[in-house]
Amino acid sequence: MDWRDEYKRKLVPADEALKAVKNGDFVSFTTGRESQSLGYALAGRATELKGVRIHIQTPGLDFGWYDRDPIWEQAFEIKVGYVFPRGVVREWIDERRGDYVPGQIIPFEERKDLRQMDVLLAEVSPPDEHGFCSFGASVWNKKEQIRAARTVIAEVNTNLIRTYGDNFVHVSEIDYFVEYERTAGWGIKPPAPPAESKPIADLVATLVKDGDCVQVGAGSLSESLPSSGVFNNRADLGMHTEMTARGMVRLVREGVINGKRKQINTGKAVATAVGGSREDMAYINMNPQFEVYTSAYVVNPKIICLNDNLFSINNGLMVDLTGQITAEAIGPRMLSGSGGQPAFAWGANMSRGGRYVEVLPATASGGTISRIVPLLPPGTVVTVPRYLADIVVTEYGIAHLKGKTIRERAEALIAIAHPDFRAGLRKDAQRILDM
Amino acid sequence: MEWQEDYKRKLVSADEAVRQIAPGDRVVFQDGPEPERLGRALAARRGQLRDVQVIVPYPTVDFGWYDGPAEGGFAVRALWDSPLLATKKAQRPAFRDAYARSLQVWGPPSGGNDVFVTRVSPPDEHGVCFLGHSVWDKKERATKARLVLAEVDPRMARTYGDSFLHVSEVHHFVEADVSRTLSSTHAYSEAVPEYARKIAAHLRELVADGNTIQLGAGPTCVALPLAGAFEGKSDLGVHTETLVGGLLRLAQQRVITGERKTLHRHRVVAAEVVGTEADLAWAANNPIVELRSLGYVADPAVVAKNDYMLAVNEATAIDLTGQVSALHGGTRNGPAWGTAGFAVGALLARGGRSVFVMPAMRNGVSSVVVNLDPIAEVTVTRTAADLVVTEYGVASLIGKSQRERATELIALAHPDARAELTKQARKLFWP
Repeated sequence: MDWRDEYKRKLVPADEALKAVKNGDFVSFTTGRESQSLGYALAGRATELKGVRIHIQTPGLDFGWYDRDPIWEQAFEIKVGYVFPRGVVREWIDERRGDYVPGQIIPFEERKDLRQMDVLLAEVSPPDEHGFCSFGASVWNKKEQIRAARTVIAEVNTNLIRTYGDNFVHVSEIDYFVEYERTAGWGIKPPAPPAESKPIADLVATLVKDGDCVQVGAGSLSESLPSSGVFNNRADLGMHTEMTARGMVRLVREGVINGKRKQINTGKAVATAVGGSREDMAYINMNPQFEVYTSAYVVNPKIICLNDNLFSINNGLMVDLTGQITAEAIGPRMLSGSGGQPAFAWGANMSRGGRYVEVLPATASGGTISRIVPLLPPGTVVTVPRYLADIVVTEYGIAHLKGKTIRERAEALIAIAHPDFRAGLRKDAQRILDM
Repeated sequence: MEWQEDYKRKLVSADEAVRQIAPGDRVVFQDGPEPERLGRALAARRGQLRDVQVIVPYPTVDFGWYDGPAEGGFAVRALWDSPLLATKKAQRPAFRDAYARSLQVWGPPSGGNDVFVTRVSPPDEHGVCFLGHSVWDKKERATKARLVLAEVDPRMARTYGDSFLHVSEVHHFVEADVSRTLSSTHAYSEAVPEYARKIAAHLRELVADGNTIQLGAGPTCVALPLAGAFEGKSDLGVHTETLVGGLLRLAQQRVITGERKTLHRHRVVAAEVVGTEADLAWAANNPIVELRSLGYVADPAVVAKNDYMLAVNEATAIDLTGQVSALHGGTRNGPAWGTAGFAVGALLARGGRSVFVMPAMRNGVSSVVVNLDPIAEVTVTRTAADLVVTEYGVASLIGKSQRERATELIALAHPDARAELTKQARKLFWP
């Protein structure tokens, strides 16, 4: 059958497509933003459905079902894979009304024995002349999810971009198409860069070398560093990153990032999710300098380490004096998720000449709390273990931790704490670390 | 120069050899039995040498320098606590002085001012000296050191793999005193506790023919092959850090053939061998057993090249979300070196799995805990936790939510601990 006939046959209204969901099914949204029309159509069936398990990797939209209401609770059992600090599930997760699925160092969809999905809700572009749809700005694990799911329903959005890499799915792999127009981006404006952005960018810039292959993790501070000039005056940088932080696309455009010295995907800027301003997106669209691959490839330590001189910058929340880092929780309270951080911490440590940099402001809550602490509060999720902690940077300086003893680490970290907290930390270190 | 001539020129007395050690040097002893003559000669120079740091990973020989504090700028440090140190007041390794190991480095990183002190076999006909049953980090240290001093000891066996130094790579040789017995760094025991039999029975269900096995060296792990964890399996492979006697005997019996290995096929790969005298004799001069550097065998990228890798390690404690603490000997200052590299490498391998085993209770304390002790090392993050086995069953954590993880782990806990764990889990993960 010609793919055009197939597409026409599979094209249905959202309500029609969502009839595929049965009581007790396991339904998943693809990673990244949720398909909006499909989410609303699923929510619309709340009174007729029972015990439908829904996995939302990155909850961004409010479909109503996070509200406290027995109708929602009987129809849907919801699990999320990430919590945004001020997002739609904040209250729901704080009240422990929902469940949280910790991330994995490799996407578990690669392992078919581990999870079988009944219905997958995705978002794609209209098919091209060969019948291939694009995933737009992000691939994540969508290809593996599509292969694993019994039924795949895709929202079709004409505003999605097309990229090079491994960013396509054929019409034959999708069961239902629902046409729905919406903008292409997340619709979330990047938060204003924190005050520490510039001084920290200046410090991290001293660690960057020409030819480094860079990764910049999500988080308001780390994401602001490219725009604050962390890569200025460098040449021949490469990019192998989970997401493109603001300013990274500009560096490709200016030729600072050219990928010349990369060992794999030479000459290409690689990510699993691209983003930025409208101009950035237009620049990436069908631009062969950019390749967007599945996260099983991009966010995989054994691939990451194939590039020499991997320079990885990630956002931390808190670090203890022994070097244990959390980027996702304080005590048992989840504030975000691990994201690609563990994989890049491993990959950078495994890369020849690789360096792993954790950035964090020295204090939080208006300067009342030190983010450098004697020990992490009990129950805190450790995102980066002690033995992968390499370099930590605050606005007060750089702490090199690799190859040091606990005492030497504590001294290096106290030296980059806010001055008001140093004496207290020294006292705590004496008591707790027996210094 | 012919190696014979080179060797003759380099063969000196211990006193002569240690004369090369200069102020500012850091003298690193090999892990394993300390070269005694060199140690004693160095101890005799204690009064003369200023600003010298001596690192003995695991002290078994009393050189007289463990009794008091550092004197005259001659500082001695141990990395691990040992029975010998337990009899001394000073110099016991403190948590503050533990090296927070980094991925490719065990103990202190190698430096340009290092003197490496090791023990090797007499050179063979090619001028090659063997490192015996433990390669560990010796090759890397010898390569990076300013000065390499080696005691020549005919008891150091010839082994296959990357397990040797050429005469040209050593600066001075000293004949070892063979009248002294070689001490062991491993308190190796083949006791099989009852709980280990139950764990072995569960683990056996997870082992498939053709798996490449990594097995830790903790007391539970050592007992598993003896308790039948691999019984009835065929064509297993081994890629491990410490090859323990029980596993080695399965290679002798051809349960382990390496037939399906995708890296070093038909070879048992390890960084060291421990076991009975018969085990060590079998591993020596045996082309099946290849000993390679720790930095190689435990590199996750190397581990991941083994399809169907099955990593089995011992956990000290696991919290309800799946964070794993795995410390050597249960002490808080001894990280288990390769554990993390194997656990993560196995997950990255095609068809690979990682298993943590532990008795549900140790000395009345549950191994499943609500929270880890904040000072404990999180050895494996919950993003890399996979299978957990106690005598009460198997938990599979990949892809599971917090509630599911807590439920599965509580089912593995000791029955006496379950009520309290359940109460705390309700508070943490349910409304």
